[in-house]
Amino acid sequence: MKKKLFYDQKTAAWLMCAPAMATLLIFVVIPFFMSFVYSFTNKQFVMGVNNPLRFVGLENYKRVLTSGDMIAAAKNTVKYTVYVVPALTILPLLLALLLNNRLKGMTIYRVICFSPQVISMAVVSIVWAFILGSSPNSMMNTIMGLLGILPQGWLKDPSQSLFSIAVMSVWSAIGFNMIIYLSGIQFISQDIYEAAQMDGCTPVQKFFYITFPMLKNTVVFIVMTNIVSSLKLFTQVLVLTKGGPMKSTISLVYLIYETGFVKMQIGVSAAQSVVFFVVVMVVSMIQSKVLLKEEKA
Amino acid sequence: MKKIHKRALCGLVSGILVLGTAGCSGESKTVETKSQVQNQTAQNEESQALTQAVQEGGKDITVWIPSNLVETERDYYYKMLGEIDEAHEEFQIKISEQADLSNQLLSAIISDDLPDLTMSDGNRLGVFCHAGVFLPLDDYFSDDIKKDLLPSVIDECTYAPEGKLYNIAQFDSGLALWANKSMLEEVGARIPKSYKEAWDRAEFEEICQKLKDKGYWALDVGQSDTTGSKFYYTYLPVVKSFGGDWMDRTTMEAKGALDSDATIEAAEYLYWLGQQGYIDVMADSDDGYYGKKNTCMLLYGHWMAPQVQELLGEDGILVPIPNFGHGVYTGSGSQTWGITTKAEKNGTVEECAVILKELLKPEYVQGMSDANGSIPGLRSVLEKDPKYAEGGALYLFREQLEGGIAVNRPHTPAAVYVRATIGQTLRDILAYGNAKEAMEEITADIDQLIEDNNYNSKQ
Repeated sequence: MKKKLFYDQKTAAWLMCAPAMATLLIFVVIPFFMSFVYSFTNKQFVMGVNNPLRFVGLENYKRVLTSGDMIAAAKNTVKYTVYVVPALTILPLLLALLLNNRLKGMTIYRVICFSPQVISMAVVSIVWAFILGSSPNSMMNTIMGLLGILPQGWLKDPSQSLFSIAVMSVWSAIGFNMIIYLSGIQFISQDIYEAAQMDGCTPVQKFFYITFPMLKNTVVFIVMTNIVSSLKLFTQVLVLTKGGPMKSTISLVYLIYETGFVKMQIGVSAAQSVVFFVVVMVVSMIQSKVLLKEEKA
Repeated sequence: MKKIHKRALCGLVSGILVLGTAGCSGESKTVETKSQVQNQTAQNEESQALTQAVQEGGKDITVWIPSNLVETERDYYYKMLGEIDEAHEEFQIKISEQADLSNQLLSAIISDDLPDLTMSDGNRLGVFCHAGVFLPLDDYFSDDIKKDLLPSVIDECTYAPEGKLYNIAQFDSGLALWANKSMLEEVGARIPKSYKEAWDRAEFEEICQKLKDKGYWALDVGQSDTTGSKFYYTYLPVVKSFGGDWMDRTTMEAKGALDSDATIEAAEYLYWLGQQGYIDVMADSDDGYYGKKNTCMLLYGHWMAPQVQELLGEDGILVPIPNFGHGVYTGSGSQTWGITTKAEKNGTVEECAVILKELLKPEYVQGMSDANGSIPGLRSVLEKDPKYAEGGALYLFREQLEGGIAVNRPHTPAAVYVRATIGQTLRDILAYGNAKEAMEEITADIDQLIEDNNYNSKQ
């Protein structure tokens, strides 16, 4: 019997994937390969008549890997990741445990905790620019004053600026991670807790011997996604500090943007983005091996 | 089977949606083609010739203006361009507002989507000339018009490396120290009425100290902006007064200017002003002068005039930037107009030149100045404007520009990076010092960029 096109499941599957794959191809795959090719050229945003496009070999990569700015950006990005990831792993878990109660009004609290997530990072950055103002009357300095601490520079102080951005990012993302934890916690069977209760377990013991082990996959997911999203620090830097003061907040993605759109050096910017891609890929592979090792075993 | 049908249908519908969005942009071309076809079917030879004449004469001129204008300015652009459009049957003006106009122009070069006529940030003339955006305008403006234009406008619109006029401007900016008259009188300061009577360094520092003793901040330089974006414009006259500059105007490199002893001294001076307590280094806003009224002087431009008038009234006065040893200077630079290379392809250069000449009519120059508070770019208009009459509140702006002491930012293709990096560096120096090392570092960075991108090689 002759099979018609629609009855062949494989063909039907490919056809249904086609629109999404076409979009990925046009907006992700092709630009990626173009970027890779440009990284070996002297491509500028707008090529001057006296500076035609030419192949420069590994010149851009040599410059990127020896550039002081690249090293500073890499250090800042790692520091930022170290600030943000533990905070976004532990605090949302505590919040989820707190909000995992069937009390009246709990839904409203969950909505409030989640609400920063729906505000765009650009808007969040502008609002926090006021909160983290360096004048004695700013909100954060007023709170510090109540605790007997002198006014701080926050975004204007190179020793505090990156940490200030990290605090803002944690505030913004805590709700989303909390929701993920909440769904993980609610997936744990209540029978286990009841049995533990009957055995005389304390709440702390329940957490360490039941909740946390059962949430391991969720924790791994949150750690992995937060590491990757931390490496992509950009919007906050663009809106608040433009990499300053004294390059204390310049991040890898911001450096790629600055090189491409401020310095107009698309070739060098493409080389930076290829290096960044390799770094993220290596980090993801290490994460997969280390964090998913036990599960495979 | 039914499920497969449903899934296939979903895939087909989503595919059509994706294709549908791609097909949107072709609509206007289709309309023009249809009208051309309709016109071509006209039977009477005379009406055909008339139709053809209208087609040839009725050219569409695309004009780009920025979208981030204040309401009065925006309304005036529409009014002015609308009147010019009505007065000329040979073309139709189509105005398009662009968010982030400067970057849109650069993107438009790549996509070959430039307008015929566009406004532009005068500071970026070097960027656009290097990219081949604009056509030279020398042939379209008589010497009489050029004589009537302020020297700072001619300077701003002339691409220095080529010596050709590429843009034209209806107005220029004014820069001086906005000062609080009562505070100056309280400390017994001499109030200069002209740039020729400007304070020297010693007198300025003495006034700053007296203001500090009275509990005021002496000066606001826009330090609340953490990126230092205004310094590139507002601090250049101070640097010139110290004997320095952002770039060597002959070599168009930073070396020899940005890292010169004079420029470093000017940058160190900014740090010194902060250390002495004359500038509130940690200020979060720039309203110390006109809002909180705890600051005596503000180094800002003409755009403050409406706010100062409203909030300070007669207490809000202008004093010239002091003379730090090499003369008194003021800033210059504003929005300009240019005809793009696309107009050459479209055959609309002459029509665009007509529009530019219309824009320079005294009534439009005056109207634009009234709408946005800028300094009229024509001497003949300035002479008649009561705001800029001798003894008037804003006379200093006129005197400075007519006196030829305005200094423009360098016309370099690296302007975007130069502006960003100098601004950020000066903001860092204000707070943390270390001027010599910082200025030498960015000099090397800028010159490396100029070399890498081949900005200074002759075409």
